[in-house]
Amino acid sequence: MNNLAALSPLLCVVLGALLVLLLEVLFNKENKSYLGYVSLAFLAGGAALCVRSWNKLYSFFNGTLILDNLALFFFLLFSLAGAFIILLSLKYISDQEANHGELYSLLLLALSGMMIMVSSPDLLVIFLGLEVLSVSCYALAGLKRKDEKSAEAALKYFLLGSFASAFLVLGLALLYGAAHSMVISGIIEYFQAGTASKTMGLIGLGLVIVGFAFKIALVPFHMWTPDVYEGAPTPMTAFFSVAPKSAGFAVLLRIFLDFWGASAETEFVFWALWVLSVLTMVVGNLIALRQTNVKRILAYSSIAHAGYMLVAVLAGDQSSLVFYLTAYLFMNVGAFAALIGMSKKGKEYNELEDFAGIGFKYPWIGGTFAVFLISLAGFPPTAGFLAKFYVFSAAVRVGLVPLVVIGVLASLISVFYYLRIVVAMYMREPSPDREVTIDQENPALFLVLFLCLYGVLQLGIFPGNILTIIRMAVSFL
Amino acid sequence: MGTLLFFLLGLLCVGSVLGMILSRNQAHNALLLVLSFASLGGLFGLLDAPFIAAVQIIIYAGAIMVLFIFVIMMVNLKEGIRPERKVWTIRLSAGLAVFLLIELGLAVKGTLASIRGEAGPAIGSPTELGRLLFTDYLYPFEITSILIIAALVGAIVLVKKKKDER
Amino acid sequence: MIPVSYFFGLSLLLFALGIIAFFIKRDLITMFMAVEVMLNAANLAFISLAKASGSLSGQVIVFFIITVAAAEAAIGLAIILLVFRQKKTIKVEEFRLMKG
Repeated sequence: MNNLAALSPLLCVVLGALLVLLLEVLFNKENKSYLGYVSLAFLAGGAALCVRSWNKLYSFFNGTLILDNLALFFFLLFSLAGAFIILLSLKYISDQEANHGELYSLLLLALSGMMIMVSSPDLLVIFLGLEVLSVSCYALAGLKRKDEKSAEAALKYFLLGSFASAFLVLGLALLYGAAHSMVISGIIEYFQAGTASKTMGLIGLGLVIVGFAFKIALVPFHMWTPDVYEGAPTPMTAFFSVAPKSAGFAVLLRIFLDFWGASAETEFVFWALWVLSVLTMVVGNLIALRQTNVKRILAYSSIAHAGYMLVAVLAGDQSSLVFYLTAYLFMNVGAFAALIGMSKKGKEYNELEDFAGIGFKYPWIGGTFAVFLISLAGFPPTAGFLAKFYVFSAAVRVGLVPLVVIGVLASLISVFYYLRIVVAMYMREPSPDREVTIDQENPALFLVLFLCLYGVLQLGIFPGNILTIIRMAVSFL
Repeated sequence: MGTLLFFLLGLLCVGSVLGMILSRNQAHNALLLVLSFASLGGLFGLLDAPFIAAVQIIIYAGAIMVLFIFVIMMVNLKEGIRPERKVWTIRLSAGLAVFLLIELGLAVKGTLASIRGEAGPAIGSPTELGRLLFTDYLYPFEITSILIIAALVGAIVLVKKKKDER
Repeated sequence: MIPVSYFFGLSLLLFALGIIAFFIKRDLITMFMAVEVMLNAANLAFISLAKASGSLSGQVIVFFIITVAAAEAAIGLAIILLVFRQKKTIKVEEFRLMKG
């Protein structure tokens, strides 16, 4: 149905971003929390508009913006992620010298970029959405302006990100030249019909995949990830590890939904992605073993998780991928929330040694962190277990047994480094020369911790409701 | 005549990029890049895209490169930076580039043969482009405004100085 | 009439040169210039392919890519300035770029 209502959630978020900018200029208060609350209000408004559009299939701009249920589900997921990140930033930015009200504005703009990406079948629009997201993220990474690591993170993110964008643009050009279309369905048609040589389209698609692989950090295009994740302000790291990944996978889901098994060319793309998936799972987990900085461990773990998600794309199973992304949102944001909790004014504790004995000293942060880590490792009864279970069983159903075996082995490796943190928290004595005291007066942080804990357990023990919603979301495709 | 112009502009373009690779002075690099973008504008003109050619020269060779020159002025390095001497990076990058070039060349051979023929009558006049921009491409056009806001806000928040900073 | 494939070939050559420049050059500003060369090469590819298919849409798309390049230039140069203020250098060696 062609209706201006299709624009409403997006407009709400962009309006929020503009209003935050305006308020920041007009009032310029030292305490920026009120800007966070304004952003939260607009995110909630956008989410309400999404719920209202459910099942209506609104579209606008000649079908270049389509609000199907999958797009709406991702809108809601992004809004939730955005709300968590805002809550985590409230105290963090004044404590850690990143006190800029524009943070909330940039965050909302990044969210709008992701919304643009997931709600369009047109690759040009998707590319522009990706650029809105990337440009905002480059700035968000450098928000701790006096911190050298943060500036370097912004630099690396930007330099490699724009390098990847150039590949993406050339890929789009080749696809356009070969398929005479920038719409996903047109490109799939081109690959499936006719017998003419498709080398050009194939190379174009390859370059597009390389561009996306950079953005969602698949091995071997992950070089930027650990340094950027380590240097960026921690709430932003949580954002980078969750949000752009979900948006990227949502796009891959749309591109590869009806793609597999039509011709020799699609077969080639399949095996290329297969290799990427194996590399990502194995290399991500192996390098994580060597790290001693918890933020870096989480960075490599997020790389490895992208590998598991790629398994779902290869299996062509939408609902397990969407479920994985949902579970990943709760457990990863939760883990980063606990990491943010390990700080006091002007000081963050990220080294593994800092975590010695934390489990008893600060039971809430330690306890929830342990649950999130166990979920990331994939133990029952948590969301991480079910997510992996659904993805791997979907892959077995379509006969990808070797891939699943590698995936299971890789996640066995990952158990080791997740549990290393848990062991440090509960079984190691704190060394006397490393005094760790943290400031616990942060109600917003504890709210996020408990909401994520609830999400991880709800999805892990009673996944029925959310599965029903996800099935509704993907059945429209 | 057209062919001659093509080779002239193409040579200018490639030559100035090569110069950029060899030169150590950033200001020279920026000027060489302006030259290369200007000749690209000429090539766009040869491809029946006169309006894009004008845009290319005004925005790229004009606005964006001025931005570069400003930053180079602020950074103001006395001596140039020597290019990387490690042999393996040069070999790696050259290998990568050649590989890509060959691969892409193969791609062109297959596809362009089938679509060469007569180019259509499409000449990118401002009227036609404007009509497309505000009908079929209205949504991307609106998105660019969000993109520019994001870039502006990001750039300002990163480099503005607060009152208490020097 | 010049065959469109000439233009397309030129665009690929430029793209390859851009990649080489990105890896060889050791200062941030020129590295970013290399990325701009790559984007421009892609633009040339777009316009030549649009010409080959006799459609105008390729030219419109180039508009958007130029906008993207401008936005990236703004944010990128801001980041380079930020880094320069801290380190007083723009040599890549000073940044542990691309380290595992």
